[in-house]
Amino acid sequence: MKGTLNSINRNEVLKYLGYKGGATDEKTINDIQRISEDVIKTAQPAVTYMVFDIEDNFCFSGTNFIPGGNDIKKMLEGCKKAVLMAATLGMEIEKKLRAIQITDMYSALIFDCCASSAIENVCDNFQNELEEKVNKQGLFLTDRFSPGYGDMPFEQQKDICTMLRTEKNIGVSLSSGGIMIPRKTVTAIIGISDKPKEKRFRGCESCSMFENCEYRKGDKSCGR
Amino acid sequence: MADKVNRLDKLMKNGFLFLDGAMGTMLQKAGLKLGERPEAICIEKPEIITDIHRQYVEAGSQIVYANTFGANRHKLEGTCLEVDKVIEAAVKCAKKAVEGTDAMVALDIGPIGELLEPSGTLSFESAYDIFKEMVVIGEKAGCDIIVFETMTDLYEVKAGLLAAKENTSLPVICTMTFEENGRTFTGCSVEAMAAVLEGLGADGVGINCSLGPDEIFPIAKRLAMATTLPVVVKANAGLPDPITNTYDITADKFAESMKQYAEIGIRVMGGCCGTTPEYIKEVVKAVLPIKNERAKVERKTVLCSPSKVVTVDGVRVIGERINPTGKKRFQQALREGDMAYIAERAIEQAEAGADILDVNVGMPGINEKEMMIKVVKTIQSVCDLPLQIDSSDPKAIEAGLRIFNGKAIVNSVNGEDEKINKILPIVKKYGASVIGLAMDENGIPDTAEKRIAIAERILDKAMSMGINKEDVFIDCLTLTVSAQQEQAVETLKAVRYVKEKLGLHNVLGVSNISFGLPAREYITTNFLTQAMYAGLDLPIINPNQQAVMDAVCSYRVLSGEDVNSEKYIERFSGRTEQKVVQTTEKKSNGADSETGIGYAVSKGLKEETARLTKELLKEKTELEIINELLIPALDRVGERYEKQEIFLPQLINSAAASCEAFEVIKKSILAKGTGSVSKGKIILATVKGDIHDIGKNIVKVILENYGYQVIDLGRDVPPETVVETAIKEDVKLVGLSALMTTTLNSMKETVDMLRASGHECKIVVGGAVLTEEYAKMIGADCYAKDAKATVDFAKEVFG
Repeated sequence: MKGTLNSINRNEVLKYLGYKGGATDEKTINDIQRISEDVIKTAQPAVTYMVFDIEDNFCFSGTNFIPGGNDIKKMLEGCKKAVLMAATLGMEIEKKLRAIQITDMYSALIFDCCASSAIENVCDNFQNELEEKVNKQGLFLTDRFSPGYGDMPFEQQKDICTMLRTEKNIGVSLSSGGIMIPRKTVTAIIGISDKPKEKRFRGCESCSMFENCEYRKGDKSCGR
Repeated sequence: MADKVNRLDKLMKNGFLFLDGAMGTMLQKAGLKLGERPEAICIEKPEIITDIHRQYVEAGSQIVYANTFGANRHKLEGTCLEVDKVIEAAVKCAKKAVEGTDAMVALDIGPIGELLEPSGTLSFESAYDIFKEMVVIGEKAGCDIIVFETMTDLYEVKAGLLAAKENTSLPVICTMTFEENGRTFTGCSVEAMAAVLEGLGADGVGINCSLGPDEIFPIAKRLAMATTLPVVVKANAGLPDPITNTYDITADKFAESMKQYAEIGIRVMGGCCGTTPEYIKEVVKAVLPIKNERAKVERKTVLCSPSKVVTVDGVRVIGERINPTGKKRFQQALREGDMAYIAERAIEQAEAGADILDVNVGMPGINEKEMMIKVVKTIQSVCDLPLQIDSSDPKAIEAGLRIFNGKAIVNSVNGEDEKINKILPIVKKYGASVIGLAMDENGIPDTAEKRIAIAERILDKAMSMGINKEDVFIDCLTLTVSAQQEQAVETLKAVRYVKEKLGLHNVLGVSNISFGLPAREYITTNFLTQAMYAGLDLPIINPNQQAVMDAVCSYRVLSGEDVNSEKYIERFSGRTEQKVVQTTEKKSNGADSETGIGYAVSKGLKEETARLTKELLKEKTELEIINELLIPALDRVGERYEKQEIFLPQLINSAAASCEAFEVIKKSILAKGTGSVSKGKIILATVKGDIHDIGKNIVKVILENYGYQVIDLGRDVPPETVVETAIKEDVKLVGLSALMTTTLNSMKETVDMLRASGHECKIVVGGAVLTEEYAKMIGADCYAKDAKATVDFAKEVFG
């Protein structure tokens, strides 16, 4: 199904670009704006997902899939259901990035960072929509957890792609090295719980102090 | 024209050819778990598969698809299944089910499961081998027909279709999966699919999966207008529900929807995901009474890549710049394998308005066939224009046509029998268009009549070999007007005849007309304009020349193609203001003032940097400019980056500006023939298994700006390639990049192999997941945290 991409977080892009606070010049800000618009126009956001019952051993019902590592199990603790999801920006972003790299590395770098931020936006939008739906049923969502986070093996990305049939449903396949193509793609697990669960810190880029934070300049965080 | 009866038409009964419905849906009902390989059941419980096939035959399916969809080497890897065993078992199940009926068995082939180059890493040649293995086993096992289905990448289908045509004698159906916008996930349009697959000799083309019959219908309609082949449709039972994983259309509704297909004469149909024997039974019942024929397809001249279809129904510009003839810088790029330079020439022409790109890589000392493959792959990775394969060597032509993902033009044959007999069969095999030069072994005839006679002969030959008339273009040949003045008129006369009497498209290389005259532009554009009026629709020109494209643009207004002069207005609005700006911007060119080259570099002003470099070359040598101006300027930018006064985007911007200066300097050196300014050769590669290359590309830009010659091996580079290149090119510094933890191993492997080879070189490594420690551990000489650090290390190595 179609995904929704409606905004790109400038602070997140600046973070990806290596900005550590301090002056952000007007040219870069304008270029991020221009390229963000291009990314939004070029992207073909798509999402696919399935809802599973979770068995006691964390096995996803009807499959042989058990997410690996302790971190994800901690997140899924007490969840009777979970969502497997995959979201992508589509192949045109991939193609365009390849072409821009030939003629204009500066724009290519910004484009790459904008696209990274864009895929997060697609995931967030999906999650918010889903959250609204489950809230109505008196249920709650956990955080979004992807293979490679914490101690969950990156290789399980492949299992998620197979189960969701991402190749057929959203045009995402894996390279022989296990990399998802198009590269601006995310797979994740979201638990569905009957109690609200505490969510993690959302990151400096969602903080209003982003540009002037003294902690960030020194590569630290305020510890929230 | 080849009037042989289509092999699918022959299989029809009562005017229809009914296929089966879903296999996966039936298997899930029988208890297949999500994520399990359905192919295994053919071996473990063959009776289940046979029973499903039998139900479809009883429902009216005339062709059942064997359970071989994913039975390829790649997908079976890591399971205990083998390709031959699975296919043999699957075909046996299907054959048992059709026994005693006249239903047939198809070898069903789905996507390999790994994306091909350039977005993926699987090569076209490997894809061909994977399919070849399947089709050979399938034919031997007794399949009656081969089906490629659920494909989203036209390149993959091309590999499969070629494998089937070259290694079996079975008919082939190809169906692809489209989204509602009429394109596949990789961007392929139905029109492109039709043009390419019909040209390559498919027996039927069509659409399956992803959408329900109502959503597919508008796309199928478009397909039926774009091909004369039978159109094949297998729709899903509507759209799936992600919670229940079921489809939303019942059998009778599905059948009702399929009637609209029969009404426009689409007669090969079945079902895909969610459909069962019941659906097929209902479809057969619903459509059999409908006797409508397909509307006649109006044949057009179409050239394409998967995502770009160029219909020649007006003037279409063929860009001529990818050609080494008379271009020293281009020759150097070919010799050094500098594909980025060639890619840039492609993008530049596309941006200037070219519709098609001519590709010529023939020059002494270059293996033309190998280079053609490399260059075509490079261009199609960054640019979606259709290509014109330009060579006199049939082997290079075939290599180019084979590797090109789309429908190309071949440039060219002439009236010589030898050329015709060698090249036209290749054109036919790959479904290309072809240019016939109106000349033969006796040279260029001096009258229009004689040239026309040759054109007619080429057309006859082409058509007798089964090449469609609309795919034959004629080049009536432009002669230099300063040498043979009367010939310009003859050429125009011949052009008019070819257009009006033969009804063929005209190609002309235009710029030759003005050779040897001053102010060539006037003669060239004037001749071009006259030729377009006479019937030239495919001028081969330099689209970067503004006046030439202006003439094309103006012609399109007067011919009525550019409706409301929209494109013309867009092109010319603001043209006068631009000139004013150019003259006022002319400033001095000192070193570091606000008007100097240092300033231009630091601010990333590309055009200004290039202009200043040209000025500076009047007073200074190339090396002086590099060492005294450019590198110090870059160093200052680098320092500011380290102090975090500026960030990566500005650093790259400055590098890109100084890149322009280096281009000017390179050209100046080539013109003088005084050697090179290279400070040393450096290999850069993203290691095997990794395809993240933006970091490596950033490093490349920066290194080049310090005067190093970078040999960019690209991404997913096997260790052997790095070692071989390092030895062959005697490279003293190798840079390796990896972004993923999973690919750090191949970095280690590459380092080990370099060390084991005994070749003396320094190794610098970098990438997101790398650390100083790990770099040491795997035996690299340096860990570079960023591009600047790589440059610093290069300075150390090369002094």
